Amino acid sequence: MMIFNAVIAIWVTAAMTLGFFMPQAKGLLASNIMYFHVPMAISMEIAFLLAAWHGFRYLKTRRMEHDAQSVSFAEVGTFFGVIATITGALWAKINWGAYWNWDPQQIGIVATLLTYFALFALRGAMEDDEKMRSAWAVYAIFGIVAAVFWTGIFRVLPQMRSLHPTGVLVESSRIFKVALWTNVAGFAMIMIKAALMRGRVQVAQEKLKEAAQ
Amino acid sequence: MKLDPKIVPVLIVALITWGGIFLYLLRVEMLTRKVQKELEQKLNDEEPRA
Repeated sequence: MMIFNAVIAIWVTAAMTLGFFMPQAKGLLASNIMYFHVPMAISMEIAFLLAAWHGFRYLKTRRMEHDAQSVSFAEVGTFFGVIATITGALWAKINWGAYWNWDPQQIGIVATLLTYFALFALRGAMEDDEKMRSAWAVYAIFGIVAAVFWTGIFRVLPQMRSLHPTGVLVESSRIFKVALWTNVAGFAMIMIKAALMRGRVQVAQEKLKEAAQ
Repeated sequence: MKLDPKIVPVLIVALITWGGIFLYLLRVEMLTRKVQKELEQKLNDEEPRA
């Protein structure tokens, strides 16, 4: 565990340093913002995927730990998604002239977050713990399907015209790509670490609750 | 030392990102303290019976 923490710390420091000193991406203003915005968005997707995986594992094993981990990943994913939306809006203001442009990807991430807010509300409204955990497992699986639709499929529908740059990863320099993916890996590790910590607290809370009954 | 105006939006974004992560970790910390308090309370309640 100590080694994992040390790896995260060193990796993220290196990634941030790389990110700040990298040259601008081709044809974009303030492209260094991408070293924060893109990793947060990708980490959000990974978190929702892991939430669904733990939901699936809960349905198979009925172990409360999987439910706790599923909720934790969904919670961290939502938090990262909110940050990705805010940082994306700032980048949009610089490059497209407005914070909100009705871009399919902007609509998609907000729709994804609203879906998860609704799923959390549904979970919170259930009183029976067993039913709540089973329902949540299904919600988490539904959540990743919704996230993939809103952030992956919706923007490529023929009626949609996205302002988001498509050729940046292909056309930019190799060093830009290396810096970007180093940052993606760094923030994804932070996301996983935060969700695992949150999950452990959730398990402790549930066990205390069970012991009190 | 003068700050390059181009770097200002990047610094704002870095602040929002790391500030957000810090706030989330703070939330986990608060929850941990709450659980610890509940556990201590439970142990104190059980002590007289033991």
